[in-house]
Amino acid sequence: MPNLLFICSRNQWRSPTAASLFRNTDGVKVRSAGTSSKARKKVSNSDLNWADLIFVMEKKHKNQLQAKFSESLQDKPIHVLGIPDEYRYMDEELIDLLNATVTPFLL
Amino acid sequence: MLEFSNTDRSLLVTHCRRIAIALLLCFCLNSFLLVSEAKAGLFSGSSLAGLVTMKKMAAESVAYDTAANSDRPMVLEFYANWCTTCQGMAPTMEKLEAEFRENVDLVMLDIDDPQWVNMIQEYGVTGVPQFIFLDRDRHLQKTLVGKVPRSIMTRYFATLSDPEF
Repeated sequence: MPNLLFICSRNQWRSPTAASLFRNTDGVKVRSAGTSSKARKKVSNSDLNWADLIFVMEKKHKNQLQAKFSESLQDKPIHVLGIPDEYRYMDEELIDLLNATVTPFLL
Repeated sequence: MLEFSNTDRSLLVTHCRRIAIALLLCFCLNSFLLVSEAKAGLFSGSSLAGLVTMKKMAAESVAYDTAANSDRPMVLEFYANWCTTCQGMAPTMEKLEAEFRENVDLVMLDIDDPQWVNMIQEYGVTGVPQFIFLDRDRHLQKTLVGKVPRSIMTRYFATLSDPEF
């Protein structure tokens, strides 16, 4: 039962959409957080320890995590989804992008 | 029939011209005053500025589903674009949202949007603005209606955001 952690900047649109999308998938648990100091929920060491799969929206989020949380991350892979900050919550195009990029990891 | 001499006629034309110029000047002065008043209003925290702030907040505020699906306390603000009290409180709400966003979600719900009809019934919304404070277990902590002083609003946000609470 993998734990999925979704990361964007402010935890406002992209990562909450991802969390809502995969929350009801059988056999997974989800959390979402942001890297910004203005994030609704800031990513923490405990989130990273908890996660089996870490998905970030942009390369910069991966860099930020590696710079700040190298100990908790150890050798956990971080998957960059390549989704820019251009979508609102549950935007249809955002949902399509998330389905296409995340689903292969859940098979 | 009245007969005008040439002198009379030229006098009449001059009068008419003067009246027309005076009217034109009045019109220009009034339009100038109106425009400058609107401009001053935009920059002085009037309700027009409040409406702009409120619309911006509503567009950027966290989606209800996002807030409801997280384990964080939330404040629901039921508002309407025509509500001048809501507009007047917008700057205060904007500051509080920024101050407490790390711990509390402020969700803005437009009562004129039909998708919130059930919510309006569920929370017994009787007027705007109405603020519903829900803790992380979704227990109703407080309902505030109408114009709320900033100090009181701040106190309830602070209580909700307290991790010991």
